[in-house]
Amino acid sequence: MLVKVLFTAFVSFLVYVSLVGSLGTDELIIGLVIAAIVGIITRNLLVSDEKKVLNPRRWLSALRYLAVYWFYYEPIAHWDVVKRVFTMNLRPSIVRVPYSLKSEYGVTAVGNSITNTPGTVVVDVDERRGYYYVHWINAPSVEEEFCYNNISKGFEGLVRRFLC
Amino acid sequence: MVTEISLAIGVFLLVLGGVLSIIGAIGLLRFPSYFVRIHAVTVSVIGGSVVPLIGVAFLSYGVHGQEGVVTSLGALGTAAFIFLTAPVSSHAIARAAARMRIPRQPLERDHLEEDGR
Repeated sequence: MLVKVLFTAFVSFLVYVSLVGSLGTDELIIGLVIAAIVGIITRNLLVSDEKKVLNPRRWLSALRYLAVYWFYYEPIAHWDVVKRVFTMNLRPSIVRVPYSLKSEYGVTAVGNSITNTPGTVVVDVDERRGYYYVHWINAPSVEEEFCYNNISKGFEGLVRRFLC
Repeated sequence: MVTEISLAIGVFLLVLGGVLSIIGAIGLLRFPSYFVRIHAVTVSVIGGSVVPLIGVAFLSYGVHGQEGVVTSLGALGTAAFIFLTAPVSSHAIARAAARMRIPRQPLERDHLEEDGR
């Protein structure tokens, strides 16, 4: 309970400080008060399991995910689409991509990662059967396993370590 | 020394973001259908907005030193917000377009249609 409130308040405070553009005493006091109120009201929305929040391994895994995502997946995907803008070498398809994550945060994080990399956009999600429907700008094959290996396997492996 | 390196990284990221924005705009004009154009928009949003904002964070520290940290924090916070919210809006407009039956051609295979969704 207390961890949920403190963590939610801490995130609210970080958002407030980063957007208010000042580190003056007045702003910090107002930020703390607002963060406390937000933390108490929305404590059950952000955190589902207190133990997971306090696990440093999960935080390290999240940092690893961010680093791999930004320095590996994003540059490759951008370069690929940039080339296609000029070559117009397109083979678009909407393909089924299976996922096996159970938590809503995990499914959302992988879906967001797929959409955020140029070349793949999640058009729909079938939560009952566990499929993303992904619009892929260049689909060499529409086999489920091939699509999974090329679109979401890397993200799932990284996200599973801190959101499952 | 640190501020000079920060300045150089900031300028590089700003220029890179500008180039990616232009390429995204060209893709938006050239690509054949609504769904394919979304990929060009992603280049503009992530490469053309988030990357330059990270560049602004470096640039602010490079130009103003310690006094520029607050601006850097603001730029990083904004970049994080765009990074978190852009895929949600991309997915929302793609899903809405699919539901409204906006023409998807050219399309080699359409599993969404095949599954009757």
